[in-house]
Parts: sequence; structure tokens; C-alpha cells
Amino acid sequence: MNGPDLLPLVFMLPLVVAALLPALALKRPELSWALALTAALVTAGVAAVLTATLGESLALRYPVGGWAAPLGIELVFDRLSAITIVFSGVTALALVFSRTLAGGLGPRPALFHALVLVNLGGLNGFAVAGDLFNLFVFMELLSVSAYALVAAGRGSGSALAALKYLLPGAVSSLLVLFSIGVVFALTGSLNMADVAERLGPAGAPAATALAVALFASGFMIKAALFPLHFWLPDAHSAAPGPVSALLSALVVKVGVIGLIRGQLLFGEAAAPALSQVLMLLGAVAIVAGAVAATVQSELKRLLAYSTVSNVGYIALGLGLATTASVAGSLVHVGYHGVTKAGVFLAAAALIERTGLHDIEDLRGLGHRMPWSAAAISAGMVALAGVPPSAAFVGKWQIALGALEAQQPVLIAVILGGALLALGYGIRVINALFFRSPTHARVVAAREAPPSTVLPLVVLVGLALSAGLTGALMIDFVGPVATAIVGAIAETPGGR
Amino acid sequence: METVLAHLDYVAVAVVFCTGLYILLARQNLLKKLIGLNIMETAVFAFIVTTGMVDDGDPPLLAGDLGPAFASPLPHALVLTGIVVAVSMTSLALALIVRIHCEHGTIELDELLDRDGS
Amino acid sequence: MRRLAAALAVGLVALALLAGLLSLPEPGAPDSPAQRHVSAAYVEGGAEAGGAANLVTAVLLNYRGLDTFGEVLVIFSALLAVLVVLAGAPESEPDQAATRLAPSPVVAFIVRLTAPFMAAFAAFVMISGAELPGGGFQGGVVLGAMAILLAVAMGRERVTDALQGGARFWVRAAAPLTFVLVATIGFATTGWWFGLPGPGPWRDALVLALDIGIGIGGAAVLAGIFLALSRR
Repeated sequence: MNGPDLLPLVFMLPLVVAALLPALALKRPELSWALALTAALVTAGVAAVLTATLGESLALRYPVGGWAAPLGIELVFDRLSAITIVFSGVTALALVFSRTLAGGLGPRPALFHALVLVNLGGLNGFAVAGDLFNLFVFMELLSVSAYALVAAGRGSGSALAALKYLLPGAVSSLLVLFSIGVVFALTGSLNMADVAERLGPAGAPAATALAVALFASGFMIKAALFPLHFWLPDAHSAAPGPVSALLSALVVKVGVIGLIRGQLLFGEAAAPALSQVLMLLGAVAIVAGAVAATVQSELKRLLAYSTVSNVGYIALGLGLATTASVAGSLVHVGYHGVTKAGVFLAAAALIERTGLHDIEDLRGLGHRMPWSAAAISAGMVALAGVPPSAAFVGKWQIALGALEAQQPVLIAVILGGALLALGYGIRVINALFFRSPTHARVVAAREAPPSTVLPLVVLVGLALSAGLTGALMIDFVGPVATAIVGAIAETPGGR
Repeated sequence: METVLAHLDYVAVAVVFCTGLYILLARQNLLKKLIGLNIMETAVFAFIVTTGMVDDGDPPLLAGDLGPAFASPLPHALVLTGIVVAVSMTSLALALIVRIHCEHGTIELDELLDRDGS
Repeated sequence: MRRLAAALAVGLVALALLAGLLSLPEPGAPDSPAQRHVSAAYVEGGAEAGGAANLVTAVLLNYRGLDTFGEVLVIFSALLAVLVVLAGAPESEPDQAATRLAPSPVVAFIVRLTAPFMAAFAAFVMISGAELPGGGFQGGVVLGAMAILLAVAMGRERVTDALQGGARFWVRAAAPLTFVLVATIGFATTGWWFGLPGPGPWRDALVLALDIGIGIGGAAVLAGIFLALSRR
């Protein structure tokens, strides 16, 4: 099997194991956990091999079933698809973390593990889709599993939170499907590269604009871009610990990747309206999310609003449409994923051990659970963007882009957001380490077992040091950034 | 006006879609919201199938003696998949509503939000 | 107030939709892009290239098999999702069970009488999917509906007793697993995942296997979802 033959495995592997898990391991949690973890790790390996095979070329293409596009479905592994490494790796670490939570996951953990693998399969399939309808199918696969995972376990508010996630999510998927229908009516094709060429000559500007609007609004809801973020705080805070990590770090990025694919697909038809909308909403999201996070009393809700703010950064970078800012957004997708996963898992550890959700209740926990508390503290500093942390790379590039685009106000916004993030990060650190405990359960708490602490340390460690590889990452995503900027630039003669 | 008449199928799609959207937004009962969502989904499926229609065309079955004009098989396949996806979402939503009813005793959104806030 | 806001929002959406949709090629026109490009290629390829005289089946299982693979996984995941969600719900009170309707003996008799015909029809739809309108999932839905009717008419306990057992998750996973099997066979014989061999008995057999696998798996999943929901 050579390189490109591995492409379908990046989603087939988790999906097949997911289908087998209930049949093989329904009553055996340890076996189910081991199989799921192995599947995630092997998938991460496949993703890494594919990225290495990619080398200098722009994309690996795979015609499924041997049918060349546009007759058949095409899979495309480009540099953006390398995000599958992050998807698979974070899922694996979340699974490691979830081992000690087994009691809280319901009577049949195999179902939980299977849904996590379905989620991973959907995420990876989404990242390598070259066909619009295939994109939709994988999107629904990851959505169904995500909605269900929010309600996994016995939290009494989680079913309502899951439904409040499902309804806007289903509407957003429907908007995307509607857009795909319009695109098909205009071009007769579903292959993304094919459509990009045929949309211009199809010559129906009103219909094309409708398709862009439907596609963009659908994915903006999925990305939780302000003001379409209303579903996120409930869903991400009501979910069980490892699920929150998956949602904030990975699933929300589907919206962003969808917007990026949309810009590549619609090209000029989307510019400049879409870019301006992204820029404006992104800037507002940065500030609104950060301010909202600062006033939260619940730890997980604070982190959820932090995600809203960070999605704002990514949208802003895309909206500025300069090579530097787009590159910054692209790397932030991956870096934020790693960092937020670490922070959410650490929060989950603290909450799991004490049963307390409010920051004020968790005062003094730092001395009883040093590793977890240190992890979340370091993670929040990393989120704010202190160099050489991962978040710094993305935010710096986006700021450079703002300079290039002559929007100094936005530099103030970026800086302001970072300061606010530092502010609420310090608030958490202060509560954990520099206050005396006020709650009995904090006094009685002990550190989580090594299998729980290990993923936290790995993720936060990566987050803090990733800035050292920042230049490498910026170079890596460079061609994608150039492609996006080129696609949406309005050339005098049209395309 | 001729444009509207020529595109009557699409106008109908828009009407049905908006009806479903209104129900989803305006109704407080969770089941009714779900029905609104299903109506919207039906509109989109009808739209996709319509794009493949041909006046006086035959269904895409190559058997027996048929004319030269075929309806396109591609939208049919897409909608079949789409219906399955919609059924999946509806099943999950129903399970969530059942559980919400068990936990809170009501499925009216305003009542549920009141309890949440307190 | 809320209704007014909703009506306004919906009105805006309606305007946007109409503005866009009216500028599309006319529905029913034989020369629209939707007819000419990929669709025309499917029709020209015919049953030879597609693998089935029913072109929709050819698209579902051959040209765009990956979409169908995703679809069967979505419905399978929905079953897992329903089970996980309901597992977290509090137990219902005993008196709720007493308010369930008792099945009428007339209805039960009719359902029992027609069930074998329903099953036969389902099998027919599944197997003839390549030639006639129908196919794997369509037949599966009929079979699943039969199981649901039996559960409603004869009491769900009769059906759950028949369908429970360690192997039930194998049957429920039949659709994705059959697909993976065929996809792997395809990889081994044609070098492409999800590829089907050229015209001949092997291809017909694989298409039939897919239809049956999808049908049985789909029926089991649908019955499973219904039974899980109806426990409350």
C-alpha cells in the first residue's frame, strides 16, 4: 500500500472500529477503551504518514472506487487536511483521560467510545473531502455523534443543552445542504474543484450570491461566530469533561474549515462581502467573548466563551485576507485546538475530583491537585498568547496582517483581547493557588491518577512550547494561505 | 411574472422552507420545533430533486423502451441519503425530548428556560 | 413579540431565497447544467459502466458508494446516540406503564397475518434494487416498519424477546460492516477502496450483497431505535 492508498483509512479506520465496538465489547469497558484508543492512535499515525507523503506537492488526490472526479467522489489531502493529526491526537488523549471517568459515562461505555470514534471519523472525513455532498455527509456524521456525546452521562441539564445544540446545528447543516443544491443546479457538478471553475461562467449572480450566503451562514453557526454563538456556552459546559475538550478544540473548527473551503470554492463570488463580514464579526467576537468570559462564575462556561473569542481571531484573520493573517488563522486552528483541549481536560480533572463547578468554590485547589492546577494555569497563560506559546504565533501573524491591511484599530482589538484573556487566566490562577479553600470538598481533594494527568501535561506542554516551531508551521500553511488570498482577490479580468 | 410561473416549483420550495422556519422559531413546544425542522428538511429535499427533473422525462431506469430524456439520477441519490440523515437527526432529537420530559416534566421551552435560570 | 420577530426574520429569508432561486435555470429544462454535465455521463455510461439498470442504485453503490457508506454510519450512530441519551434519563414511574394501550386482538391478528407478506415484499425490494426502483435501504425500511408494526400490535415485549441477544449489535452493524467488506474486496481486486470490478457476475454479486447488507442492517437499526424510544 503506498501513500495515497492510505487516504481513505484516515476516516475508515475509526468508523469501522466504531461499528465493531458494540458488537465486540459491549460489556467489557477495558477492551472497548483499549480498542478505541488504538484506533485513534493508529489514525493519528496514518495522518502523519499522509502529511509526510504530501511533501512539497500541494495535494494528494484519491478517486474513490477508481471513478475520477466529477463522476465519482474525490478525496483531497492538502496542507489544511494535516489538521487530521490534531483531530486524531487530541481524540486519543481525550480517550486516555476518560478512562478514569468510566462510572460517569453510563452503563455501557462501549457506546460512548464508539460515538467518540464516529466523531473522529467524521472530522477526518470532513477534512479530506473534495466533494461537496461528501463533505455534508461527514459533517452530519460528526454532528450526530457530537450532539449525543453532550448528553452522555447523567448530568440533568445536559439533555436540554444537547437539544439547544442540535436544533441550530441541524438548521446550519440544512443551510449548507440548500447551498449545495443551488450550486448543483448552477453547475451540474458536486466536485469542489470542478465547481470552482464552473461557477463563474454559469453567470447567475443572484443565485450564486444566495449559495454563498447559505453556505457561509451555515458554517458561521457551526463555528459559533458571534452573534451565532448562542448555542455554544451551554453545550460546551454541560457536556462531560472529555467531550467538552473535543467540542471546543475540534468540532467547532469544522465551521472554520467549512468557511475556508467556501472561500476557496466560491472565490470572487464571496469577496469582498464575506471577508468584510468575517472581519467585522471576528473583531466583535474577540472582545465580546473575552468580556463574557471575564464575568463568568463557572469555570467551564468561562472556557466556552474563551472559545468564542478565539474563533473571533480566526475569523478576523480570514477576513483581513492578507497572506500573513490567513496563515495566522490557519495555524491558530491547530494550536488553539491543542491548547483548549489541554485546558478543558485540566478543568474536567478539577471538577471531577471535587464535584464543584464554580471558580470561587475551587479556591485553594492548587495545593491539593498541583499537577492539574498547574496544567490549567499554564494552559490559560498559553491561551492568552504569551510567547513562546502556541496562541502567540497565530495572534502575532494576524496582527501583522492587520498592519498590512492598514487597520490599526484591529491591532488594538487583538491586543485588547489578549490582555482580557490574560486577565481571566490570572483570575483562575489566583483562585487556585493564592486563596485559601472555602469548600470542604477542596480540602479533601487529591490529585488525579497519572493516566488522567498525562494527557493534560502533554497537551499543555505542546501548547507552551509550540511557539518554537511557529515559523515552521507558518511556512507549512503558506501555500494554503496564498491559495485563499488568490481565490478571493478580485482580478480585473475576472476568472 | 413569467419568471415566477416558470420557477413555480422553486417558489413552492421557498414557501415550505419559510413555513418550517417560522414554526421552528415561533413555537415553544420542542416537538413542534422539531416538526418545523422536518418541514424545512422536506423543502430542501424537494428542491434538490426538482433540479434534476426534466419535463416529460423518464425515471432514470434503463430498462424497456424509453424516450431520450431522463431525469437525472444524481439528485435522487443525494436525497435518499439526505432523508436517512434527517431521520437520524429526528430520532436523536426525539430521544433528547423524551429525556427532557423525564427530567423536567415539560417540553415547553419557556418553562424550561425559567427553571434553568432559577 | 417573539412571533413578530420570527415573522420578520422569516420574511427576510423568504426574500433572499426567492431572489436567488428565481435566477436559477428553469426546473424541468432538459439543457440545464444539472442535466448536462455529470448526469449525462451517468446516463451514457448506462448499465454497463454503472453496474445496475436502476441508475440511482448505480450512483448510490458504485459511483458514489462513499456517500452511502457515510449514510449507513449516520443511521447506525443515531441508534448508538439514542441508546446513550436514554441511558442517562431517570427511570420512569411505574404508573406510566399502566397507561399504555393494550393491543387490540383484531389488529394483532391482521398484522400477524400480513407480516410474512411484508417481509417478502421487503426482500423483493432489496434484491431487485439493481433493476427496478428500490434497493437496500428502501427494503430495509419496509422490514423495519414490519417489526415496528408487530411491536405496536402485539406488544413490544414479544419483539424485543425475539431481537435481543448477544448478536444483536452484529446485525445492527450489518450495513457498515458489509460495506467495509465490499470496499476491502474492491481494494484487493481493483486497487481502489470501494471499487467494484467490471461487468460480470462478481459485480452483480457484490451489488446484491451490499443491498442485502444495507437492508438488514437498516431494518435492525430502525427497529432498535423504535424499541429504545418506546421503552419510555
